[in-house]
Amino acid sequence: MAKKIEITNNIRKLRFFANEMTQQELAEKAGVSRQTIVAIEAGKYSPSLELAFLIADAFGVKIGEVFDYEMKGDK
Amino acid sequence: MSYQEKRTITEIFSALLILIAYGLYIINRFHAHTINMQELKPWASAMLIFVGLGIIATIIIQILFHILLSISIAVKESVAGKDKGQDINKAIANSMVGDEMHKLIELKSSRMSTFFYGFGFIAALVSIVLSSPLPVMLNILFGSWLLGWIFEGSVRLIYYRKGVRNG
Repeated sequence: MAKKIEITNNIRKLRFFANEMTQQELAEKAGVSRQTIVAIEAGKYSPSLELAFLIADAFGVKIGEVFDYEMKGDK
Repeated sequence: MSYQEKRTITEIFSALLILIAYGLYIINRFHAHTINMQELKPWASAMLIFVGLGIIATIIIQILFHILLSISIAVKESVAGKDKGQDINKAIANSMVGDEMHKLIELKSSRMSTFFYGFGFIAALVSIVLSSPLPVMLNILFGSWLLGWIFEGSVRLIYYRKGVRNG
């Protein structure tokens, strides 16, 4: 049985500590649209590994500090 | 509402416009007795005309949409105090960025519309098996193309609203 992975993120917190960086600023740094950042932050979209690294790079932190995961029960 | 959602709505609007225009055109021609269920040629030419009109209408509507969107962004930026040409151009470019999420949504929604076309093809075959006139088959195929277009846009809107998962 495959387990479901729920990807969580700390983008909101990291934006706050990055001088209240706006979603638009983060989007520009990562080279995506603001809508994509909004969706990632709200947990509605799981980014590709490449984009996840770009977001982490925008905050100057390791990817593990931005994204985490939770194992959900057997499906 | 984001640029992608607005663009999708204009696409749905184009498809609806073509569907309604085609329906009205066919009703008028039926009333004028210039089209019937025995001849295929008038149906095929009508559909070809509407396919062409659909493409032209979509291009015109998209051009108008982009002009209006650019004007509205420029006005908003001017009101916000960013009246430098570069800032406004940057804001317009930023609002129209297409990225991996949009590509994934387009891919998933086009897959859904392909199911719709496939269903239309099978329904058209069934109509022949049931000895329906051939124009019925043509109309089912044409209708499934238009409805698939609308369906694809609707699915895309749902993905933009509810989010999309990889895999």
